[in-house]
Formats: sequence, structure tokens, C-alpha cells
Amino acid sequence: MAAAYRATRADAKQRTDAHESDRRARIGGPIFALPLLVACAGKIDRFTVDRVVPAGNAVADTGKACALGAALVHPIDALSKGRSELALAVAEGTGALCAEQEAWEADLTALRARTYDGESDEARAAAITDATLSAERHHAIAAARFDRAFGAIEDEWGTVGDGCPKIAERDEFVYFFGLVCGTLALLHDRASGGVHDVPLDRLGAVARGAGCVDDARWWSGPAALRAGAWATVPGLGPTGTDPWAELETAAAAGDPTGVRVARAIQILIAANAGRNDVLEPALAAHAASREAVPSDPEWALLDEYAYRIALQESDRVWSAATGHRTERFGAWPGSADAPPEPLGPDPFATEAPVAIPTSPEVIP
Amino acid sequence: MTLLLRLSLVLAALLLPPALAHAETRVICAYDPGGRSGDYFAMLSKYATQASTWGVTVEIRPYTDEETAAKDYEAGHCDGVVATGVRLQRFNRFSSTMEAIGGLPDYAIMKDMVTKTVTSPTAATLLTQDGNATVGFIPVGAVYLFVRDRTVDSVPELAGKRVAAMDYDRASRFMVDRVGAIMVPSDLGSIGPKFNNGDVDACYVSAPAFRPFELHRGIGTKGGVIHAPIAQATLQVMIREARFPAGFAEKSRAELLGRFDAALAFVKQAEAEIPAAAWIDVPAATLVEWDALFQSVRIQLRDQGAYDGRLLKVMRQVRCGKNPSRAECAENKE
Repeated sequence: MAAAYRATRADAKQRTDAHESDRRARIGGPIFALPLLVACAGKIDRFTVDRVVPAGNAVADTGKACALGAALVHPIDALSKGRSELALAVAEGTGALCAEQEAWEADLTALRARTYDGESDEARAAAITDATLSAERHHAIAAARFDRAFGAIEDEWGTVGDGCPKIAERDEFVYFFGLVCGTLALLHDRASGGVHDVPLDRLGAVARGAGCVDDARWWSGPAALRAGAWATVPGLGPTGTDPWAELETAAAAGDPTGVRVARAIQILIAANAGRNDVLEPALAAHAASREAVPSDPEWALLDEYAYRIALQESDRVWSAATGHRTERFGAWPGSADAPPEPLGPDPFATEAPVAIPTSPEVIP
Repeated sequence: MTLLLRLSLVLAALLLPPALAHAETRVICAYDPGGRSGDYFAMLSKYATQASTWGVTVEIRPYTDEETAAKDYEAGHCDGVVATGVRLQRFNRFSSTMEAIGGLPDYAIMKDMVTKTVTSPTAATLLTQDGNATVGFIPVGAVYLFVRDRTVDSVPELAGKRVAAMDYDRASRFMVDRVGAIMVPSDLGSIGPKFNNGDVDACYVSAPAFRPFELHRGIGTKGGVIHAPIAQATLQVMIREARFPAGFAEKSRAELLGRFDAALAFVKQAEAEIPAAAWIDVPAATLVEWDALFQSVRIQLRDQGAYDGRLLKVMRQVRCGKNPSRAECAENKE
């Protein structure tokens, strides 16, 4: 008892010392740090864009990226007087991946629950409803984070879609990333039941904003964003343009780069529109490309995220059809049931028939 | 002993409660401009969860093209379809009449009308035509006239103006002719660009189209939205009745009626997103003018077979029940 009390006191002393240290820091800190803090926002942006983004993008681990992004938002916000918009865009956008993953899992749970046997209809309905509500909550969190990432690029460069801002070449990636986040914010918000009321004209703005960044440099991702918006909102694209053909062109151009962002956007938009006729070949093309072209090592994280998006859409199709996730990425459920084709002529056809005993009793 | 065991197994299999047997799946092809991310698709997914306790598993399949959904239903690729009333007119004229021009001037009247229709045993027989049963109405908003010049706010001023109208909507074509305007055939893909680029002077859509079609570009500083509903757009859920268990239609109608207010909330939110300055309030005298025009158009379309007179008659009763001072209540034309 006494030992416990001493330990508690020791902890309290440590806390008191720490508090005193904090107090001194609070008093003295601003005096010394003010000049540093005033210049800090730009430095944080530069450190994030020039150092963290390349380092993070080289590691194909979306879990690590989301944990880092989610953890860094508040420190970034607190470290400087001005807002480090570029750093915040990256942190919020990657932080959204955690909630997105949880939303995806709940979506799959709901789909699988529809196929459960051995449950009463009411129990099944309750399981589906519970998973759906869980998914909606996670979609709402993902939407908010993606939307803050989009908001950060608007704070930095002005309203997206109202002309093209002057973007330094080294920052162009953040602008493109913000546009992707803006699109994902809308999709997640809709899936949440519109909790954050992300405006529906977002897609039009993103489509125009995508014209401000270089298609070839960003693996045809901007072209896919544009065509995806055109495919989703009737009349948004130029007259006479087939947005689905444009999407396929962008995806096919992006595949050989080893950063299959355009293919993932095509898959996302096709699944959203219920276009299985587009989705099935797109998933097959994505799988074939992964076999043929390794990820660009500098952008391995983005290629991994593109794969995760495609795999989720594939899992949705498989879960609805079979009750489980994708067996083989690129295959459509049921396609493996087709009987195998014989390889050339029957090699056993010329063999003389062999007498097979009809009953175990005749074997000596 | 073996025989007894076998018999027990057979009996056990026969006596298994039906709920344990996996229900067959029925696919409903649902139009939502937002696809799988659309508000209506989300609502229908929840409806499907509930409907899957009624003897079949209901799967909602998203479509962003309405005509494709209707055609897939027609071709037997889907057991049910969700599309606007005007699009489903070819399957059931009674239920599509719910969208009659000027028939439901506000949402309270609309809810009364839908409630009366889906709870009436007589209407239940009319909601099924040639095996196609309408099993629910979802409000998607009052249809308003969007104009590029806000001084065009009365019937005579529409004469000679170019109006974008859906080419498959017979009632709209007729209406445009009646006011002396010039119809510019359009579809959902072209209505926004035509209005925003000035190819037409006016178009009519419900508020949920305002943001995605960016109609503020066409309205600019001189245009606006005439604050008088032309009609009430609905998404209607239709099934091939023989593919569903007995009693499904009644349960479905009750279920979707229970979701009416939630659907209306999406619409009201979309209406609230139209800037207050864009709304053009119509003087009471002009509204009477519009009402008279709407009534004569409804009667003519009824006589031509586009509208079902039985539904129009009840609509008039509901309107006059709410507001007996309306001019139409003194006479009995519908």
C-alpha cells in the first residue's frame, strides 16, 4: 500500500517537474521561437513536399501512410502561426485512408451478410443494417478528412475550377493529390448519407482543375479525373465526347508507367455507375498490368493505393456473388467455373482399354 | 434402426423452417444520377435490406442512365426497376400520372396523395398493369422553370422563348406548345450545357440537379428560378409481380411511404442550396393564371390518353380538400 503510494507520489513529482518545465517553455518559448515560427509554415511545407512525400511514396504501405498522416495533422497545424496548407493537404489526405479502410471493411461485411445462410431473415437484416451503419460512420470520417485536404489546396491556390493558378513544378503533385481527395470526399460523403454536405458541383470543379496539371507527368491521372467527372455528371464534358472511351484511354496510358492511378479512377467510376461491362475488363487489365509492369519504385505507395482501390471494388463484386473476397485479382466471380480446354488431341485415345475390376472382392 | 435414422433425417429436412432456406435473389435495377454514391441508391439499399425479410433477397443494382435501366427491365435482365414516372409511363399510366403537370402544388398535398394511393385497395389493382406493379413512390422534388432572364415569369412572356424539354416527355412537349414557346429537344446530358451556354432561354428540372449541372452559370445575375412547381418528379419502384411473393407489393408500398419524409429531406436540402436571390416569387394573380393553364393541359392530356383520369380526379379532391377556395373547386372538370 505504502509502496504504491510512494510510486504515485513519484509519478506526481515527475508530472510536477514536467509541468514546471512546460510552464517555463510556455513563458520563455514564444520569446525565442517567435521568429522561427513566423517562417515555419513554408518550411514545414517544403519539408513535407520535398522530403516526406518522396520518402513515403517509395514505401508500398498504405497502413503506415495513413497512420502517419492521421498523427501529423495536429502537430502540423500547431507548429506554425500560418497554416502549412501543402503539408496539411498531404497529412489529411493520407490520414483519410485509415477511415476509408474501415469503411470498406464494413461495406464488405454488409455485402457478405446478404449471402448468409442459416440465419433468419430478420437476423440477416439486422446484421446488414448494423454493418451499413458502421460503414456510413467511417465513410463520414473519411469524407471529412479528404475534404479538408481538398480545402487545403483551395486555401493555397484559390477555388478549384476557376481558372488555373500558378503552381510551382515541385508542388504540382500536391495539387493533383488534392483533386483526387476532392473526388473521394464527394464519394465518401454520399456513402455516409451526405453527413458533410460535400457539394455536388465538386466533380465539375475537379474536372476543370485537372486541366491545370500535366497529364503525362502524373500517369494520365488528371485525364482520368476529367473523364470520370464527365461520365458521372451528364453533359459536363465537351459535346460529342464519349467519357467512357476517354477513361479507358487514360487508364491504358497510365498502366505502363507502373503507377496505375488512372486505372483505379476508371474502376471506381465504373463501379459507382454499375457499369460491370467496363469494370470487368478494367479489373482484368489492372491485374495484367501488375503482372507485366512492376510498380515505379519512386511512387510505390500510390501504385499500391491504386491496387487497394481496385481490389476493394473486386472484393465487392466477389462478396456479393460468392460471400467471400476476391480469390484471384483480375478474375470475375464464376469465370473459373468454365471447364478447362483440352491441350491438343486426347493423348489417351489410342490406348487399348484396360479391364478394371468392378468390385473389390475380385482382387486377389 | 438405420431406416429410422434415415426417416428422421428426411423428416427433419422437411420440417426445417422456411427462413433457414436461402431465399432467391431478385434484382432491381435502380436509376440514380449519382450511381452507387447517390442518396436514392443509399435509401433503396436500406429498403432492400428490409424487403429481403419478405421472402426473397432483394439486390439493388445502380444505373446512372435511366433509359438503360428501363430497357434492362423490359428485356428481363432485372426483376424490378426504379426510374422516374415519366420514364415508366409505357408500363403503367396510372402511376405515372402522379407527375401530372400542376397536379400537386406542394409537398403536403403530394404526401397526402401518395398516402391515399398506396393505401387504397382499389388503387392497388390500378397500380398493377400487365404484370408490372408500382410498389412505391419516392419524391425527387418539385420541377421548377429555370430562366436566364428573370423578367420571364408569366405565361404570356414564355411565348417565343426556347425551352429545353425532354424529348420523351409528351406532357412537356404539349405544355411548351401551349404557351407558344419553342421546344428544344434535350436529355439529361444536354439540358445543363444548353441552359448554361445560352442555347435555350429556359429549362425545367428539380432542385437536386442545380449543383451537379452547375445551373448557376446559366442563371448568372439576370436569371432565376420561378418559385411555382410545374410538377412533382418521382422515382417509382416497379416490379414484375409474378417474380415476387404474394403480399410483397403491399409491404413495399408501406415501407417506401415510411421513407417519404427522408427522401423529401434530400430535396429540401437541395432547394436550400439555391441562393435566395435566385428565387423568383410569383404574384398570386399569376399563380392563378398558371393553375388555369395547368388544368386545361391536364384535361387535354387525359383526353389524349397520356394521363389517367381516375388519379387526376383524386388529385383534385386532395387539392380542394386542402384549399377549398381554389378556382377549380367550384367546378368538376377533372
